[in-house]
Amino acid sequence: MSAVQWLASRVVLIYGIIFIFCLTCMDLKTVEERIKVRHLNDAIPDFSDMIIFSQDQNVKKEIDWAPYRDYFELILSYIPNDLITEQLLGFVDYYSGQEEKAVVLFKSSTDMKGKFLFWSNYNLGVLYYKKEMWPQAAKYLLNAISANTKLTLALMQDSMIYRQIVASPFFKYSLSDGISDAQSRSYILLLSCLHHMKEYDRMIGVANLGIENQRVSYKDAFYYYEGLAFYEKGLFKNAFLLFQKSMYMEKDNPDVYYYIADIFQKAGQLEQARELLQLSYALHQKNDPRFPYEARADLRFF
Amino acid sequence: MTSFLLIIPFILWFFCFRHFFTGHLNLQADAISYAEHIGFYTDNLSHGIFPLWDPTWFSGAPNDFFLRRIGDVNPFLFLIVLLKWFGVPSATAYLVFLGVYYFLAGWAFYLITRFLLADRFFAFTAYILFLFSSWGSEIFYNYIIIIFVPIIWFLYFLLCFSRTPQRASLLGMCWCAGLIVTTYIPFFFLTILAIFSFLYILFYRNECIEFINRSFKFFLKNKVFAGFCIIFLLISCTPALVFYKESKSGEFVLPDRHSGANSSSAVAVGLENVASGDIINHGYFDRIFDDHAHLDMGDIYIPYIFFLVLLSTAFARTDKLIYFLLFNILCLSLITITSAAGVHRFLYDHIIFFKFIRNIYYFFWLAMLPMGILLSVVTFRSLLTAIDSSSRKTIWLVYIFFCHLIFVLFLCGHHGVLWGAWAAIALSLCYFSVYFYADRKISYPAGFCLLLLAVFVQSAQVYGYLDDKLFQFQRSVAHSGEMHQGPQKTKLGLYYASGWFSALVDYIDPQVLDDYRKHPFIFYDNVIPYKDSTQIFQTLQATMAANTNIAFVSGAESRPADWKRSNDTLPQADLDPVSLGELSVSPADVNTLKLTAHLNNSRFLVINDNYNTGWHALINGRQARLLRANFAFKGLWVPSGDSSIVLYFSTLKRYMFHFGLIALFGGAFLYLLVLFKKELR
Repeated sequence: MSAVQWLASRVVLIYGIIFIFCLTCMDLKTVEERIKVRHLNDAIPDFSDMIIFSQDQNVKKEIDWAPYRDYFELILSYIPNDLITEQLLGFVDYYSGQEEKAVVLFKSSTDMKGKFLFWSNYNLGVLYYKKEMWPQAAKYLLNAISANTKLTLALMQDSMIYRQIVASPFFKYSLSDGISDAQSRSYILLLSCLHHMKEYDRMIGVANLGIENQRVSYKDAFYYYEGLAFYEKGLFKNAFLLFQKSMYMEKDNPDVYYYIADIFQKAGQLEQARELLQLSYALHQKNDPRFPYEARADLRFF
Repeated sequence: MTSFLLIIPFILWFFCFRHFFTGHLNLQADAISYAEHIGFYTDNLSHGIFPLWDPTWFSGAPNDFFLRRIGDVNPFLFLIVLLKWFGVPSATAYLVFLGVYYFLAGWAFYLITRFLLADRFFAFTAYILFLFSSWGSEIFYNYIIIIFVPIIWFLYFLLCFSRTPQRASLLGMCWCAGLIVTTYIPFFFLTILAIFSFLYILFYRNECIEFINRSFKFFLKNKVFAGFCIIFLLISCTPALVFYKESKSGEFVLPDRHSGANSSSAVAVGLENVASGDIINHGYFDRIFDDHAHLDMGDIYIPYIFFLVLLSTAFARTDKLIYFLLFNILCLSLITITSAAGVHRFLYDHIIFFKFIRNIYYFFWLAMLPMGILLSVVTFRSLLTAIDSSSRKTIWLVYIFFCHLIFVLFLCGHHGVLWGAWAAIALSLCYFSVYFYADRKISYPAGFCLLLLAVFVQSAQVYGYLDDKLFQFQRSVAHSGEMHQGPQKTKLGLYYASGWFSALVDYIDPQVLDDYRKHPFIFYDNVIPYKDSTQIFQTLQATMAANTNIAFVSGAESRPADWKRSNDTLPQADLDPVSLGELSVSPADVNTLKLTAHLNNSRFLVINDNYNTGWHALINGRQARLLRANFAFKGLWVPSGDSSIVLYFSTLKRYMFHFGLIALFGGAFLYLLVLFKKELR
């Protein structure tokens, strides 16, 4: 009996048959693709915690970030460099204590073919702002305000992950409104950064941009910061007018009263100054979470 | 000896799943609804009622669909009835039934292996590999055990008949086939049988001709008996055929299952739906070597002895049986991978019953896994035969040690391998060492013990982890049930429901419909007809929400005499006639509704239990017109004065037919036992 004949009569041949069967009768590419889809489907987390956390970080303190991280990492293992996933994984990594990894992920998803994407730039800006690294924060916040929000929105709407997020019964928001709101906040944080960096002329420029931009809200804040820039430059008359504009739009900001009082004091009008200082103090006591404007600096994904 | 070999491993298997049997762990997934429907059926049966209508299922639905799923004529269901009579709680009785049924499956598997290999040891090996594979966990996860037991016993009877045609084997085959065809999913069996037969003809041509000759002679000799068997089989097909006809009537729907299907039958499945139920879509093989500590229900687990045997037997001699089993598995795998091979698409387009198979991955549990285990055991026999006949035993021993080493190295590359797995490998080595060095008087009984130990040690640990995981899941579900205060989607998710009720769910605001359904009986004074179109839903929703004194009946299904419009009526319908004393409800069974009305004027009664053409009404003993009211429910005019109203579902003929069929199956089963006892002698 030859070796071939001997081998042909052995069980090992059935392994060969199975191997050839797999190669010839099965579409292995389809099998692989479908297994990937199944793994992804199995890993889809319940987005409710992440949604609630993103809206108010005080409501959900202890979140198990592992299912989100596993899911996003799995997607990246199948689709490396997926910008939306990188941005979401960055968000998860940051809040699960892996800041360095988050920064790397945000940085690699800041732009698409030269066009700035909003969320990664915004989150990087906020992240550096919280660390008081003003120049870095200003750089990314500037990118955020000049980001292509339509492109960002289109990518989000096209993304399977955002579709899963939006399908959650806890998601009661609008993606475009979310971007507009965060872009308005970008202006505020950028103005605050520039204030810390003492770049008052740039502050005036950015504040005017914000005021002229029809899509962003918080105009009262932009008038306030522009007034602050003039105030720091010693141009109290301009500052006064701008603070007044801000005050007409938003009556509960204690800081604007403080600065107007200071201008009155500098002008020797002590009675008005004292009244305004009292008002400012009373408003401070209310602890309105909206003020100071720059206090709300949280990473977000919608 | 045989009973000892069967019972000891079964007790150990019972130990592995003890938490299910004691009720500490709940049934999972589809097993829950099957337990509920079997519970509903046996509860009614124990009261002498055959439940043709389920009033608890989404405002009422014909129960035939569930009866077809569970196989209502199965005499083993009487075990549950019997246990209940003895005071055993329903849940425990059902679990005992599951355990007994699984044991029956294992027993048949043992008998088949013993039949084919003519050796207790190999039959025992196959039995324990099957018993401790995750087939055992499947019985708590889905319902395929209900169809698997008759399939595997059918194959055993077929094998017996092929060797020596006897009355018992023929009746056994027909009885099992009958049991399968009374369900609405006999198509798994038909496919497995077709492939099995085709390959049998291909591989065993001569044996096949002999088999046909022998069978022919047997039929000629036993004409009356064979005729009885054929008639029995034909009668068995009746419930499934009636169900198929009813599935085309549109009176019930299965929205999710049916989506995308191009057949008028409600039970047909869309192609996309089939793909979601194929083998690729299930994570069966994800944890076959990895991470047994996180095994899930539905994951595949086979004790490692199976793989060690397959690896060690690579150079053992093959035979026809091995190839026969292999090609059976390969043919079925081509179907189960659906879109990854063109075979399923072809069958779906050209063979009608493939349009009714959704969970195509069941082929894995029903045939591929048992055949795979059988294949490994056949190769195992081949290996031991080769060792016995070899003059250079030491080379074989070294080779087997080498295979074990390779397997150990292979496992080292995987994560989460449990100590039970290493123990199983060590015990396997012990087995082979004993086989080589010990005397046959010692090695033969030691073989049983060592293999059982190897299989049990690994499985007990794996299923221990599975228990932990399920306990943890149960706790988290209970916890989230207490804590979860999130928004809730109130729209009902319908799996199976009356067609008209399903439309109501689609078009009427869930809250309005829910509030409306809280009133089981409503009296109206005005009845107006409508055209069956989606436009009615807006009006209907407004009427339901405002409780207006108007009932709607289908214009096409009613006559002008059924309609009434009067301005001289109260603006609102009477939502609670029972507390007002206008209506009293008498006790009745699930197929019947008995009411007594006391009215000053004739009024239209809407009973918020779904309408079905199978329902009939009698008022004071006379046939009354039952109408479809408020789109989905029952309605009828009740005359003034005292009226006795009786509504009943289906006909006496059908009712008796079902009882007759149960009696036929029970009788045939007893006859089968008698024949077996006689022919065994």
